Amino acid sequence: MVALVASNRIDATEMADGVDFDYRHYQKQITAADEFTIGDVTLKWYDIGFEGKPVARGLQLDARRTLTEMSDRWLPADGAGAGFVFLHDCQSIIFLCAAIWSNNNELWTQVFVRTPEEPVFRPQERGDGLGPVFCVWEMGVVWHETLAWTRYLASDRSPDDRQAWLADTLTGLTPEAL
Amino acid sequence: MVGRHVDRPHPGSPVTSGAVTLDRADIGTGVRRAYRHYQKVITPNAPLRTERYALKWYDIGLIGKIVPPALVAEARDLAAGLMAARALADEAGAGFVILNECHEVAYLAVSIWRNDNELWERIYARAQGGEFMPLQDESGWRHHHCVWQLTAICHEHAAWHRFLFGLRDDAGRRQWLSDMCSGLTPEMP
Repeated sequence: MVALVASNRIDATEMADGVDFDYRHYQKQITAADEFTIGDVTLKWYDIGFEGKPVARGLQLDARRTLTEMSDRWLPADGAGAGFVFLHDCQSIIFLCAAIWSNNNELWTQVFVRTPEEPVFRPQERGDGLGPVFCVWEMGVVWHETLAWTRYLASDRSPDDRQAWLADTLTGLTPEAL
Repeated sequence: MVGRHVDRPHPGSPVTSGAVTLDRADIGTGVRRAYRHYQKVITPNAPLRTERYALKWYDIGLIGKIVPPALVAEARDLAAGLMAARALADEAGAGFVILNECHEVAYLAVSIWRNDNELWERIYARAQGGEFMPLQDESGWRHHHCVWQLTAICHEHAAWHRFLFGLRDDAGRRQWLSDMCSGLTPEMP
């Protein structure tokens, strides 16, 4: 059993934050692009890249081709659903995530990774213990889409509401100026 | 949300969608026709302090129903054990824990910040009367989080942004510790 302490008893001077001393935080650019559809699945699309360095069109095409060719790794069994994709170009490594809303209010994801050593998207494998989720910039997309999905769930879920959900996308720097 | 910090939607520019038209009765089978969305309550609890990690703690429960202390204690033991094992890797850092009690199952998500800006996590599920078990996700296609948990997660991402853009000194770490959200989620019109 590990001792627990109340919030006001944690000493910040003895708390490690795990951040490299030389690290300097920065913004990235989120850009909405054309939707991706396959079967009865509709996914909004977001590119995430460095400011002033748009995600290459060829990379996006490769990502769309990957989602089509590897649809057995992420498509719901009934072949229907709604969600979003983000393609995050970190230069050294590239992340592609297909995310679908399921069971009314749950987000399910499949991440693909492409490295300089092996420039093809591969499904991200997961082992025991802690595993990577989203970085802080990708979360800008996830947060927007969580709010958009919540608005949809709270609506009448009419055809107009579905169209409003589809048009409810995000383009801008993340995070916003603090 | 009611809390020390009020998150705002991202101010990015909305764009008009292309040619896609959604005209089905609902969006795939992702939403049951009879489903009616509802709010839940996010409540900060005492943080979990282990030898090498400081983890904020959130309880999420149904309105009017307190997350049972016995369930919290069980979850704390599990999270503490996970972080003790993690400490063997000679790492130290910060993160947060979410304990979400649903109608028939409870979820426990233990998350830490690694590599400066990445969130790493382990998720457990516990059926009524059972024990917390790791969610299996060998296929890579995985249950991530529900919209209520995502509220707390998104707040913590914003809090980490604020910390990273700050001086990252003792005052910044103290401010991060107290930068939590609480109240009903989602906000309803």
